[in-house]
Amino acid sequence: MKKYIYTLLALFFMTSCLKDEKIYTGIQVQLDFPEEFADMDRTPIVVNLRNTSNGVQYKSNCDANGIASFNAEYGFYEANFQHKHIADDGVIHIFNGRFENIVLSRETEAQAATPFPMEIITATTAQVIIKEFYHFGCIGNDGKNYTYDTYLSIYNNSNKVAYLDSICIGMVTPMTSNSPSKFVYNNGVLMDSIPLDQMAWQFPGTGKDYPLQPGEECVIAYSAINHKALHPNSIDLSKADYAFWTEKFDMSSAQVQKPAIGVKHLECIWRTKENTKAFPIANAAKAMILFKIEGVTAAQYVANPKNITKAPGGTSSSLDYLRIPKQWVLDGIECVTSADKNNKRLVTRVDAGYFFIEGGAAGCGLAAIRKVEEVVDGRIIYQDTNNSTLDLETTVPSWKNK
Amino acid sequence: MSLYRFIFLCLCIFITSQLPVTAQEAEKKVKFEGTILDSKTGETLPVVVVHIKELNMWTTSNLEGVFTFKNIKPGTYTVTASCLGYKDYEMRMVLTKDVLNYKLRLEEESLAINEVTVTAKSGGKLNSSYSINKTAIDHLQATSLTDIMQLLPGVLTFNPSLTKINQITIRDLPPITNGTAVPNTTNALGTAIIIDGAQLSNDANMQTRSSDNNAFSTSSEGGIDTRQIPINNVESIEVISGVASAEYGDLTSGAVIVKTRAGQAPLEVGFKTDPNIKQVSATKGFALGENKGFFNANMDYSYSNKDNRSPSTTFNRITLGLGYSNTFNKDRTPLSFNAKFNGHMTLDKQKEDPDMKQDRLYKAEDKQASLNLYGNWMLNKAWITNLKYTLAGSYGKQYNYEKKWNSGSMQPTTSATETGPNVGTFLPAQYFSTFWVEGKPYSAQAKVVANLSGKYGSLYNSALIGAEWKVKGNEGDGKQYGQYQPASGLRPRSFKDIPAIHEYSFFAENKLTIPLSKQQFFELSTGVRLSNISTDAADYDIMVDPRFNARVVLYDQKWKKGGLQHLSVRGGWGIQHKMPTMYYLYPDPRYTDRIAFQYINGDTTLAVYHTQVTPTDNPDLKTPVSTNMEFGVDVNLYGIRANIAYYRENLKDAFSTSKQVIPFHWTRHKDLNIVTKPEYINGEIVYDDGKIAESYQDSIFISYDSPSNGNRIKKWGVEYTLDFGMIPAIRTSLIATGAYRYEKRTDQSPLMRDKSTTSYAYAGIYAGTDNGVDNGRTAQRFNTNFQIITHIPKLRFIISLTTQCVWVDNSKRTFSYNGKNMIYMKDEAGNIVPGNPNKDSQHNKYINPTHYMDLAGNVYTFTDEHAKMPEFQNLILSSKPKFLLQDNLDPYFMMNLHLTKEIGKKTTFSFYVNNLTNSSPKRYFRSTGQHQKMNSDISFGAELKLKF
Repeated sequence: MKKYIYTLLALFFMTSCLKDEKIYTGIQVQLDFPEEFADMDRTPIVVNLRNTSNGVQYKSNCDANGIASFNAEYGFYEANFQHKHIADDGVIHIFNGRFENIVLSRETEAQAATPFPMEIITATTAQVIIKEFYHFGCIGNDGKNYTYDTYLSIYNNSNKVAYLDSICIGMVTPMTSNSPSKFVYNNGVLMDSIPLDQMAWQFPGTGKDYPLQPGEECVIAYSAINHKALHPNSIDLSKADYAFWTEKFDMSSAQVQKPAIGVKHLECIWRTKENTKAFPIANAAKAMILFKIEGVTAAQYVANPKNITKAPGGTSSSLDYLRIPKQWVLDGIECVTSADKNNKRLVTRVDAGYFFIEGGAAGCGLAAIRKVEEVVDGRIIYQDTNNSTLDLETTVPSWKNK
Repeated sequence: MSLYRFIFLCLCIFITSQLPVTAQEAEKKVKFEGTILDSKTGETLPVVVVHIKELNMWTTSNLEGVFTFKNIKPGTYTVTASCLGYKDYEMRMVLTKDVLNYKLRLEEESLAINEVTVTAKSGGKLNSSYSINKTAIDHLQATSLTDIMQLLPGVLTFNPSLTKINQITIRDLPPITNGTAVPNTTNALGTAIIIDGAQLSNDANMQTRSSDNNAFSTSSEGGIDTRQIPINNVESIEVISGVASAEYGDLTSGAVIVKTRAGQAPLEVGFKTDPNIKQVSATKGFALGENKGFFNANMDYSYSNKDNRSPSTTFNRITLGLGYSNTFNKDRTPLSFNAKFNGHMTLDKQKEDPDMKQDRLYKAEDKQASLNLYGNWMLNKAWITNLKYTLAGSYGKQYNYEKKWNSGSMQPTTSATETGPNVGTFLPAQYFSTFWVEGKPYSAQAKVVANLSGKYGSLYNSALIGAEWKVKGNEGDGKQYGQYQPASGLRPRSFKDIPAIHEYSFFAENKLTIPLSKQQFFELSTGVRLSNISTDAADYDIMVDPRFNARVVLYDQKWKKGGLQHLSVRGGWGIQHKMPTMYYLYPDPRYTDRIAFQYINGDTTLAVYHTQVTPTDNPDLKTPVSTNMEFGVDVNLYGIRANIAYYRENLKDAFSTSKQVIPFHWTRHKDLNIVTKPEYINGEIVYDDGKIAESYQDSIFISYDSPSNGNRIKKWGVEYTLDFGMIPAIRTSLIATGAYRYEKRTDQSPLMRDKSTTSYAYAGIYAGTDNGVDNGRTAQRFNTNFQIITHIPKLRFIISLTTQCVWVDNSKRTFSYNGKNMIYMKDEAGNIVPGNPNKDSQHNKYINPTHYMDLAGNVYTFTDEHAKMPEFQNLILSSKPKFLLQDNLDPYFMMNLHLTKEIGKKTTFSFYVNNLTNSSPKRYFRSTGQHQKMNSDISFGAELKLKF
């Protein structure tokens, strides 16, 4: 009997000695940002090192060179980080990084001497984004669809002042998502040069004339009048900020009434035909973009015939489309008719998904709005991951009950 | 030949024919007398017209059925006799001495007689013309005059339809879109329809809606809508497709001459039905007693619905005809007098689709009454044989009304009618707008023709001279609208203010027949027609239409068995003018309104406009003129009768619409976007607080349509009818008719296109090319209709099976302008590619404007250098690579069946099926990359006629 107890005790002591043998090792992770971010301050960036077996997490800040150092015990790990950086021009850059299958053990100690390079995926969100798009209209006082009360709302999603000067708004062709776009390469991929239909508009100003404060929206109405006076289901847009209206053109046949006094007019920089009179954002679901013309003035860009083309395979009697390189796009949303009529118009880099309002049709009185990501000191920040499927949701137009 | 030589030649021929030839004066004159009998019952027939063709002498049989001709020179003549309800009689008679007891037997028209014609008869005439009798019209079950054209060679089958305009075209080669032919409006405008000597006119029809794309269904630019002519009252039709006699004018394609029923006839009631049309008709002829003449009445009601699901696409029409005819002074100088009254009225007062929301209301009304007094007076003097007269008038009301609910926002508008700045108003956000077009077209005509016919030695001569006067006008209120303008740019226009159009014509024609031997003879017809128009907008020279037709009968042995029985050749040449219509002489002026300033703040509004009134008439408008040439052969060989005619027509200066563009500058005022109320004072916008809005100049191009003479049609073809005769054992005949047609149409009207967008400042001027590189079409078609007709008199039954075969059907789009080819090709990179644009199928086709205009109104020639500059790229028109290729279609076929059966003494039943086998072959058009369905749809109908 005593023999057994002594053996057990000996075993007991031996195992406990073994158990106490935990080995820690140092590991470094390197964050390699693209050249343009060489000046960015890396010290606030927090990198997570997570043990995939027992879930233990280590956090460490980067140093000035973007290297995060850890002292972790042997095991299997993955490293990740997220960081948001607001550049001087207001563009918000979102960085994502992940490195999987990090093995810390005696064998890999030599490898751990050099920092593991972290792959970084960059996404940018502009300061100024499209926040809400009301295009279906409502039911008028005569029981028929009334689609003149549509509007587009843009918003300053950052914490710095944004300037509306020279920002352009366009509608991407085709105007409905029922058939595929003709503007594709031979392999079916949408072209990099985005074709705009009907009209392109631009905010006036030379640089800093029209500020948009953080958390403020700017509503551009199709017809900026008090629709509610005649149609109770509709909206009073006589206090909208801007209107898709240019005095130069005779817009009367499109039933666009002159905007109420005080509403500013956008400038139409291009239209597809000599008598195009309306910017038809109403009815079927549209893809809208905000963009900025770089290098030349809008007038110079539009005057260059290379920037205005017909659809592939078109003849002289086909319509003209204004082409915008996708790099100039600040923000875009893609609304489609339904789940099965969902032909995209925007390239993935601009918008990876699409959104449709369930049961949406002309007259339903519903709008598409971005989801709220978070509220900071009373200032709403909307979600913009450049994916309309994830970013948008249905709502009653926010201006209806203002 | 100049005008004067023509007239001189004609007068020479006319005068020489008047000179008495003394040798013949001493010749003994003979008397021709006989009795007209019904061939079956033997009863005598009174008041039957008997006619000696060569002498143009006619008389009517008296109450005992006896007719008499006195003082006839001995010779060989053609004697005809016609009576309502009986088959026309024609017989060649040799008269060398008095004939006193001639028994002229007429066969009652029915399927029990041996010889029945259900096709268009051709041949035997001096020019190309086809005769269609009542039996053929009934067998075809035509619902309108247009349907009857299917009996002519070269016309493809189409289904009857009363829900769209029915026009008549002659020798047309229409493009076929999905089984339906689109008739050529120019051809229809140039086809004259003459009913009992009075020519119908569509020239004062102004029912169009301008400045709006919601046009009423109207034929104001085209030919007469034949839906207004009741078909049950038609006795016979003659279609002249060749060079018409100088007696007929105001036509370019040809004439359709209709004779309506006159005389005693039993009450005939007919019911006709097909999937879309229902018709009820009744007609009766009353004998009013001894020497009191006849009274004919006919009535017809048609109902047609294009789509049974919707009541708003119906056509409802009722027609009424009353006629009185009598012959006075029968024994000495018979004078026939006819008075025909016709009225028609559409019954759909209101058309609205109950399924559509109550925001649109249409009303359409069309009624017309006409009176025609006509007749012949046989004077039989040495200096005049016969005097024909026609006096006719018509008055109609056409009314199209539209009421529309407009719901949107408050828009500015103006109703100024003078050029210059003006203050407008604002329309309410929601309102009803009413718009109507009221036309009251009227026309009157008077025609007198004097004829002198006679036999001079061995020659026969028939000379005629005549004069005609026509007036056309419109007394309607015109285009009007209610309190609110239904569309921008629309203004009221009263038709009453449009001057009437007067037409004066004088014509002379001489027909000389020279017998060369017992069977051979030579016929020559020389005629000239002089016409002129008198109206404010037109100042034309006298239009001269020389018309020549000649025919030589080389061999004629009717009773010879086997071998050649008849051979004759004929030819003709002539010029035919079409008079301009009100629509082209007095087009609507174009009103362009451009906003200069607008202010709207609640109820306080101010709208300042600049209106430009542009007259759109063309002071240089010419009249369409067609030069026709014909050559024909009639042969009867081994019992096969063949008529072959070659024709060539060149139509120039046909009416077309050209698009014009002029620059327009006006002053605009910058909106200060403030609440203060502005006023328009002395050309400035002054705000209440003293501020003045800044003015600036703006320019655009305004466009308008103007009548022009840009259409040209060149055509030639061969029409043939081969009658293989009847196989007696099975009482079946085979007839093959058809035509080969070639047609080239171009529209060279100058077209100007404003291509500005935001900053574009040029308008292009093109040679008739509208959107692509073509301004015309060339087409050829060769078809044959094989008709197998079985007629069984014992059963009183006739059935015809027609197989329509289209062997060749080619068409292609063309461009021509002064003989130049201006189309070129470019590859993807933009380099010009040499080659033949008509054969190439790889490269896009391009065409430059001939000139361009800038906003100052300066016009410059467009050169190849301009084509390279980026600022002019927008003006270059292009078309897809295969656009100019010729579409050669494979042959396609169709079968139609018609049958008529008389049942008992009183009933006739007819039935037809078009496209019996429902053959709808699809043909691929490589120029458009689309398939089109050929052949009309399967359709069938039945008709029941009852005689009491």
